[in-house]
Amino acid sequence: MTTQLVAGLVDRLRAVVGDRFVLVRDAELLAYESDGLPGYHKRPNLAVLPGSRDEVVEVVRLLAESEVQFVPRGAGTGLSGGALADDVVLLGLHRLKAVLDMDIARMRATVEPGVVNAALNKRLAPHGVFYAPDPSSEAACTIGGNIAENSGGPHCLKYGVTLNHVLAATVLLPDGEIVELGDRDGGMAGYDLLGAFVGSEGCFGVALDITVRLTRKPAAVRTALADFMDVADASHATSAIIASGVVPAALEFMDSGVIRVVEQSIFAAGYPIDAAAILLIEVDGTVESTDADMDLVRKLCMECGARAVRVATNETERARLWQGRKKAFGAMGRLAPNLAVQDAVIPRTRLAEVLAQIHAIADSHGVTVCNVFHAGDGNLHPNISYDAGDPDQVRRVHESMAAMMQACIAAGGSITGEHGVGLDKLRYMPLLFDEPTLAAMCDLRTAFDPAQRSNPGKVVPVHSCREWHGAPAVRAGEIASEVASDAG
Amino acid sequence: MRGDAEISAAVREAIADRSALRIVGRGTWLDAGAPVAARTQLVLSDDHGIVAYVPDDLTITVRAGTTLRELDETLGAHDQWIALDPEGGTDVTIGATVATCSYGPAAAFFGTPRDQVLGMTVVLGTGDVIRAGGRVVKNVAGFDLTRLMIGAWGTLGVITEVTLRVRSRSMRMDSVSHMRRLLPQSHGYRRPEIVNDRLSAALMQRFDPHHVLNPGIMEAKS
Repeated sequence: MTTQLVAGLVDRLRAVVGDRFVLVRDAELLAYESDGLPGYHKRPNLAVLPGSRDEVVEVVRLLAESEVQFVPRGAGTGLSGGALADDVVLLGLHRLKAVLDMDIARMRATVEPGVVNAALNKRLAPHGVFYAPDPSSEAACTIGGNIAENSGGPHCLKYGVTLNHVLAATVLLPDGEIVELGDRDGGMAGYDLLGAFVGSEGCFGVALDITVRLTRKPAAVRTALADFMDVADASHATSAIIASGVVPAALEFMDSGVIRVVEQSIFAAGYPIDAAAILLIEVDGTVESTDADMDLVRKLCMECGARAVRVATNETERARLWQGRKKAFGAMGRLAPNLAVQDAVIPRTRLAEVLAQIHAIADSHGVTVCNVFHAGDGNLHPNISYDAGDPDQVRRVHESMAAMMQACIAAGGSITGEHGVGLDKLRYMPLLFDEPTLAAMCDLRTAFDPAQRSNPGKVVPVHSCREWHGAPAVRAGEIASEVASDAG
Repeated sequence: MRGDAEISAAVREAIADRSALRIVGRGTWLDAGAPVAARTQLVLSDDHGIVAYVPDDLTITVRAGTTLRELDETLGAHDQWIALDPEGGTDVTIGATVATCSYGPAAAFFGTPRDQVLGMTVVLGTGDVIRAGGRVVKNVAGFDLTRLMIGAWGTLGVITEVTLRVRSRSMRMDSVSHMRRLLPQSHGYRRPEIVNDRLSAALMQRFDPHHVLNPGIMEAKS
């Protein structure tokens, strides 16, 4: 994109959204240089912040007309660098924060993409219903961003991830066409384009409105803290609970590094600081089911070597237990200037083994790792505190992260359970998927965005994308000779 | 047909012959009222069996021709099940259940195949074999080819292997009673209709450029 083109575009964008909402000066763009992924800074060439649905449509159509690439952004809390805009236009959607409809009878709500996750739940709470996906950044992250990343959270163990809670979306394709995906009434017809859109990391277009499914609040909730003197015992307890048939609403794991830093912070939750690991286990349902499930959880934890299992007796105690977990990442700011929050998934029977590997990798690279994660799903979050200003530390952190990813892949897992690929994990994609699969992902993307202008260069390595093969006749000829030689 | 290589070769042969394939599990939901314009059948019911099953992981990987009965028997021995109970009994294959996104009453609590399938192997209409998703219960690596194939009635690819979420039979139903969701009906399938012309045509062009897979089954919405 030439500077001249940008200059002309700036005026046209200003005419749509107003002068205040087109940012071009370095000082203004500073806030949009990073997202939740530490150590990365990319400067957008301009940021445009539309304030209404019509403005978003006009802006995207202008960008399409000018053949300009752009990066959609919600609250910028993403942890994989998905909202980094490297010398392209940044399209901020956080000003679209209207809850358009709450239809409690039909158990659904329709929101604009900039509605903050926790703000929606605050509106829903008086009606006895909630929107289930609860990423740890729920107080800041937007529903639009959640859709883009297919976000998870502690309670996704029982309730499912974002994909399982989205009924429909009105989507503005990167070329400016508006399409309706899914069905607000829960009907299913045609290709599951909504399913493909959820988790597409801003590469398939922009959601203008989103209809989510609501869930009734359970009659009873019980939360317990189990503490262990050995990390392996906590891992085995996790596997035992999952195998038992109890489906905890959440099953979170914190190791000693996390426990200590939380307890030293203003978020202190009363965790035992001498424990090697703790499990935060929540069950919900009816009074009868939660009592029965909690009895079984307690028994299994004790059988696996827990020192104690303490069940919160009131809502204040329960909230305090959760506060330490939800604010753990913030508390880790005490350790070092930067925190690399990793994300990977492994089969749940491999927890003890892979955690030991992760610690061995950290030791051999001279970095300090601590773990706070969704154990029930096998969704690991090894975290490394470091100083991004020290090139040697940065190198060791990156090398150890790569080794940890490889260990998770070798265990039959995945490189991300809820944070997305973004920019950070591009390099691992060829380790997880073969070339035909990566090429098929590119094909899926180009169906939505043939020019690949939305969030360019993210999710799938560019070299994996092949142009669609030539005319069918030529292709058929090639295949025929291949088949012939195979037969010979 | 048995094995991805053989299935891929059959697709490539159809491309070379400029013919088309009617993809069949056990033929339970064949056509769904819309005629498939293909004379040759690609039958997958012989390609069945458990590929990987670690009961305590609560996941299972099976070949597409595996019947729900076979799954029930394997999982039942460990007091487990997949929460899918489509109309048509247990003689239907898991491949067809997933390809049509068929569901029954259990979907009110556990969702349809789109909520339960973790990954799959697929032979595309180009003959390419892809491995979408994975074998773990939570996974957002890459674009979601798995969701694309679920309910596509085999028109974008032949599903040859499926990894599913598994549940314990001893789970208390009163622990999930508040999660009951509204479904348009208690059972059904994803209707084979073209509901978004441009996007659907673009997908067909990329995944089945030679129109060899179940041509004609995705009907334009009238």
